[in-house]
Amino acid sequence: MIRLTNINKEYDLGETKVSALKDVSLEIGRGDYAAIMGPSGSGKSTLMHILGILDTISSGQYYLEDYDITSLPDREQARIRNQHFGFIFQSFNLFPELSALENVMLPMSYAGVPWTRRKDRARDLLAEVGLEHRMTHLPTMMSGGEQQRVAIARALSNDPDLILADEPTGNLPSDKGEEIMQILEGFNRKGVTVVMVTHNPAQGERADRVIRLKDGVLLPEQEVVRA
Amino acid sequence: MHSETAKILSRRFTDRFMESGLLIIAVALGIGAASSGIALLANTISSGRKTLESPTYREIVVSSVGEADDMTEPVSLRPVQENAVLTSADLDAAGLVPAVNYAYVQNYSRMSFINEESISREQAMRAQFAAQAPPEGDFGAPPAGDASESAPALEASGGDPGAAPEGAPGGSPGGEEPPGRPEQYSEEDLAAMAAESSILISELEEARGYKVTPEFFSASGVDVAAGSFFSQQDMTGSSSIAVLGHELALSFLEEGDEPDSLIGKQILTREGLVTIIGVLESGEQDEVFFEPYRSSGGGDFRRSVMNTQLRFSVSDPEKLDETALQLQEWFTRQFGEQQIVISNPRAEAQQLISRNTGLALLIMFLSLSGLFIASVNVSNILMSRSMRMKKHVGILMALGASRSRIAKLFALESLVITMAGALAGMIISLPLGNYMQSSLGIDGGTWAFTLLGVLLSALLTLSFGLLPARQFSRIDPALAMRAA
Ligand SMILES: Nc1ncnc2c1ncn2[C@@H]1O[C@H](COP(=O)(O)OP(=O)(O)O)[C@@H](O)[C@H]1O
Ligand SMILES: [Mg+2]
Repeated sequence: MIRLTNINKEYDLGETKVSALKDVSLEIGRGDYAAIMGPSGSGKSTLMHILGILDTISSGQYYLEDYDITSLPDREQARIRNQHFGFIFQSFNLFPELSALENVMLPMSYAGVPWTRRKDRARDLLAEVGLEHRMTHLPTMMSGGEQQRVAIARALSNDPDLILADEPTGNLPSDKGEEIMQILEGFNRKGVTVVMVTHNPAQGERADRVIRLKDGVLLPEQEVVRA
Repeated sequence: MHSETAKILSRRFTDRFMESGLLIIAVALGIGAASSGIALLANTISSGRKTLESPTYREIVVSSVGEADDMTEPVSLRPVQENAVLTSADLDAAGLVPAVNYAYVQNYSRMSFINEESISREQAMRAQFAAQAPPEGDFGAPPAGDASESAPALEASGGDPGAAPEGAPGGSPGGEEPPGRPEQYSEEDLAAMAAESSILISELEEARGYKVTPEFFSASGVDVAAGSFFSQQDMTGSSSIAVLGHELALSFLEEGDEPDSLIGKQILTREGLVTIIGVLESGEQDEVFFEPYRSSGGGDFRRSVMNTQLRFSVSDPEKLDETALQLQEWFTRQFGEQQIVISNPRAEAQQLISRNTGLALLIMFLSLSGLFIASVNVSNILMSRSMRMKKHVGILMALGASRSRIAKLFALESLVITMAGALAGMIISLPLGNYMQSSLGIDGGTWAFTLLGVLLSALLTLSFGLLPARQFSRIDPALAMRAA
């Protein structure tokens, strides 16, 4: 689905340059369940942003289904993020002004889904992550685990092909983190591609593949062979 | 609005009610002040232009000294009363001054009407005097001296002479004002007069007007709606005739009657019957009447009270100064130094207009500075508001908002604030603008300029308010998401 070749990402800090990714080549296949691991500052988030077309690359190529998307206009990139990708963040990043339902409805409004239909779908999604009793609540009234489940529902609202999750359990106690892992794995089994950053080796081992980064360099990947 | 994104903004807006309210107040004050400033300047300039277009400001006014400051001192104290007396003969000066196209006399005049009210008022006054005055003070004195002022008019107009004579003019120099001087009519006389279809009884107490020579009508550019102006013969005749301004004429007409029907009719006044020979089109001279100026007769009394004003009109206002000088020369030769005042109303009006324009310009400058400062602050506050939203902007982009959508969102926010401010500002500026105009003595100001001012200043505010939108349409989503 996604092919990155010889990606370099440099941050220009005036006199010095920080090289966050060095010559990274990577393929993500449809239905993959990949974990990205590595020490802090190794470039995991940078890689996620590049995968999600949220950041520009300094050199290299990004192909999405054989299309070079780096040259697409902003409006097209936004459309791809909206309809093909779903983002989940460590700090949930729900909009505090909106109810759980409205948070889930928001990406659908960009896709032009009519109000009643996006409301219905948001209800279904929230029920699917076990929050049917929390629809009208504001994020501030919810626990971290609940908020992250709303975020997952939001990421899934436009039926994405790829979920990009940057340390989704990083701010959660382990039992709540486990809930999140199971929800994500459930969607992966239904065919959604999942790329997840994690610090937790146990979580990493549950993925089909582990992508390791160190100082912006991709380490050779070990295929996880399941029994 | 069904967009969740707009809900985010509107809820942020209402959650921070104080801040949002202050923003709108700042915008309202800025726009209110600036638009009244702009309207004031525009109105000052346009009303100044309009004023100068009037025929009055294409004239040189010549009058004898002492009249210039008309009624500020008692008649008896005027210093040079006897020396210079202008008459219509002095209009000959025009022949020697090439730029003058019309020359005429225009003197103030007044017509007091006789009607039931005036009669009963007079009777009441008479009764009061009878009660107060000692027996010797004989107010009902028999006619003394000449009655020349009013009697001929009455006879000429064919009015009922029997109605007039009782206690005719006492010749008292106190002159124009009552009590008890002129012809007295009884209620029966009035009824008899009213019965005659050719005689009109006014419902008004009095009317103001002018004694003029025929060129007045040419100079002022008015036209008659019915009848005609005075002819040169009318100037020497002795019949009492008048041309009425449009509104004044209407006061004599029944609903639906044409002004034509007034021609030839006579109005009952204290000075006798006055025949209407013309009615003006509606225009600047609506509520006044005109009677022919006749310089003959009157003697010393008339001369001292009836100060004659001569007016010399030119077609090209540029020539006014030069004309004033030439007239000055002519009148100085005739009457000597310091006897005659030559005034140039246009120059005076221009002075006033330029002073007002200067003031208005200053006010506009200050109010625009206020608006500028307010706008910069509003822009700053909006910017810091949006900065706090920076991370959320990054998330919106991750969820599929394009840059232009983000820009529109922030633009909408400033637009709402600006519109609310402009509306409130308009409520401030309409009365404020009116007040400033009336305090500068400018009339004929229009709302249109205030609206224009609101529009212009709202655009200024908006252009500042759009800065955050511009900024955020360029934001780097990855960077924004890393923001705290
Ligand atoms: N906007 C930025 N400007 C400069 N340096 C940055 C920026 N974003 C990330 N970096 C640097 O790039 C490197 C990779 O960061 P990041 O991708 O966030 O690492 P990780 O997610 O693995 O902790 C780090 O050295 C970080 O300091
Ligand atoms: Mg990171």
